[in-house]
Amino acid sequence: MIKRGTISPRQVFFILIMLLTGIYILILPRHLVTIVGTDGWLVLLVGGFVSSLMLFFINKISRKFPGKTVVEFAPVVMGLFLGKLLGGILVVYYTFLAAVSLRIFAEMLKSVLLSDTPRWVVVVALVALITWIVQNGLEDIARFTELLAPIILLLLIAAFLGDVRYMEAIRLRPMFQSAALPLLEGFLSSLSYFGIIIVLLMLYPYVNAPKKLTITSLLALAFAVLITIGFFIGAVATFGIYETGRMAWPVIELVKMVRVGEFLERVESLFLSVWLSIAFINVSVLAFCSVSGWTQLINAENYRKLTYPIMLSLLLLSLWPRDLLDVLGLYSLNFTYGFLITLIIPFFIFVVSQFHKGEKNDVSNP
Amino acid sequence: MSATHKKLLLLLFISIIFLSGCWDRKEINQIGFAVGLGIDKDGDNYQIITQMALPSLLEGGGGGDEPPVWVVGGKGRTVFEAIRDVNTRSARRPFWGHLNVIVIGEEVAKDGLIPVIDLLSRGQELRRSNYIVIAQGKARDILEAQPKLESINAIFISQLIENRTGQSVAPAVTINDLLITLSSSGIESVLPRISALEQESFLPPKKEEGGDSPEGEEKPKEILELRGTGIFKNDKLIDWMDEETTRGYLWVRGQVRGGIIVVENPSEPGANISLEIKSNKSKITPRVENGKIAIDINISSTFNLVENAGFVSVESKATMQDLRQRASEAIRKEVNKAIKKAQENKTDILGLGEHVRVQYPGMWREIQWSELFHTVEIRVNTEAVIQEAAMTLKPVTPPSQRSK
Repeated sequence: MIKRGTISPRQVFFILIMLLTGIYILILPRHLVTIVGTDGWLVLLVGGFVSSLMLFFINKISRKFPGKTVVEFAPVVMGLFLGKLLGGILVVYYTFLAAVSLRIFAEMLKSVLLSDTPRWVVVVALVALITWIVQNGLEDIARFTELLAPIILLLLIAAFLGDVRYMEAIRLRPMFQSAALPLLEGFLSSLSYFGIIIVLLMLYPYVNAPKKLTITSLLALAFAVLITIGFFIGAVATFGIYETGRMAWPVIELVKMVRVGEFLERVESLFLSVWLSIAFINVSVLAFCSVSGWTQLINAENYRKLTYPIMLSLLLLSLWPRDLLDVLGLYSLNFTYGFLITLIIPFFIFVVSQFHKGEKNDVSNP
Repeated sequence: MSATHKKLLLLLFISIIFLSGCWDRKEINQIGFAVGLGIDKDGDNYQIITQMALPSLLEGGGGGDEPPVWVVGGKGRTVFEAIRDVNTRSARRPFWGHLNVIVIGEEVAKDGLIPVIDLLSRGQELRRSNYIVIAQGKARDILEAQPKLESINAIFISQLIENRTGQSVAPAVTINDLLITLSSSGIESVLPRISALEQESFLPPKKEEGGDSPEGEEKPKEILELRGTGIFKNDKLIDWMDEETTRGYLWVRGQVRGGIIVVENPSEPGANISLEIKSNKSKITPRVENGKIAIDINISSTFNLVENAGFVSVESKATMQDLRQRASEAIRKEVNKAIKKAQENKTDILGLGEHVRVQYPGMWREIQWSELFHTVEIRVNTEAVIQEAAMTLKPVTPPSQRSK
């Protein structure tokens, strides 16, 4: 088994922020603009608030079974069959998110920077590196994240500030013009977007001070909501809703506009290297959740043996869609139905666990 | 791990940076840096002109007569085909990341910008913050002109745009701005006009020194001028605005950043006073009165008094008040010209419709703004503040004019 109780709440904070503002933010503004136009910030705000409810369930159930991941305690609560089924759904979900973020990153790199490089070169290189760090365990991933995340966040804020001079407030108006149905769809999309925070269910037992995680995870969510709203407003105020809706990578287009003084242009290469680190962190965490999840699901002894086949299938899965449109179509499944997994499953387990006395004394976490 | 091992490992890590190659690498001596792009039409085909920088002539600067750019063209049914056609004539692959300016030929603009602009927004190398201008006549003449001061004329043009604030007689439009005005409802596009001239239009023609250039051969033009604006309806060029009208347009858009307004000295008829524009703010407020849309435009501006060509000092409260009146009257005149031009052409370049859309979104969905715009009542309110009189309090006055 992997050693548990080794990462700090601060590391979890950065991991969550990187997941919430990392790869999928690249396509978020365009998706929201096509549904609710200028009201995207509103659905993000409401979606963020409701996501804190999701965090409440996640924190409650995880604290009831200290030292256990969701895949381990779900069968205890729900009975063997249903528990394994729900755990299985979550593990498949992690794997899906890992594969899609890998591919989205590769597509972005291909269309922005390395147009002649075959996709598999980027993907295989990343997967090789990720396999190695997943083998080393969560602690390494967490430390790496803690080291890089502050720099990445600063650069993201710098990119936003560098574009302020192109922004015009009138492009954000008129507000509140969307009909009820699109608003609902946008709200569910933003809920599903923030749903990636469900990796917390897998990280819980590895944290050395689980009591602090409620505050930590809420802070990370609040911060991420701010950043996503910032980039949404930034994209719309700079490009207007029609242009944002036409772009493949609105956030990257924002970065491309940045100019330092009169002489330093084309800083996007710098930012793309930032996104390389983001992609690495994102996929590492998701792959770790997937690998350890599968291991616990089949009660395997050693997760290291499982790493290779899982990473290989991750690689093949991410190369499977034909082109960008296929990938986006695949991910739009998550925008539409993701909340069913990330909100309903924790809620369901939470309700049932109210009739369960829980485990207060655990060996690994006294 | 021993200390030597660690050092060795560190060395290996550092070498990664230097040894690694890159799949998409383009060696710098294999690409040509395109600094200017012009698009013209030739019958049904597009004709593009690119200016490629010649690095060998740029360094040292001793090249002499030859300009450090090479102007090369291409032809095709689409702009992209024309751009690729350049490759058949250029040994180096053009790289568009350092483009300074895009010049659209008048004919292309009259036929519509949409077929041209799509490519400009798609390309991964082209930047949305690039400036775009419209040529009076052919884009080719602009890019082949050889202005003084700057050896690369695309850089010359982009500097003209950046320094436009000296007179505020042309707007600055980036690809991003153009794409937004083309796709938004309630605002139409404009592009600054650039023209190539043989020589300054207001200087008497120079005597031809003869022998310098053989008869009949065209000499590249030497003067490039950024004045005035082309106005569009949808994506088609339909009319031009002169300098004054352009500044009227810029007043409404709140984009006047500098320039001079000349007014008569209130207490000395015939003597002119130059006021330098310091800042400009504009507020557009649409109103619905009896089911009809009316629009208020409030323009406020501040000035410095920089030149008094007469003898009579204006530094008294009453004359200053009078001067303010005259300045705001001058602005109103310019603004009214721009409004008249826009309404005559039935194209809302001022973006008034955008404010209607924002203020009355419900009403906006029911009206057809392009049919309505030229009938809308527009009220202009101008206000001028004269801040200070530079460093002098009184004008230059000969003894005979002084009051005893």
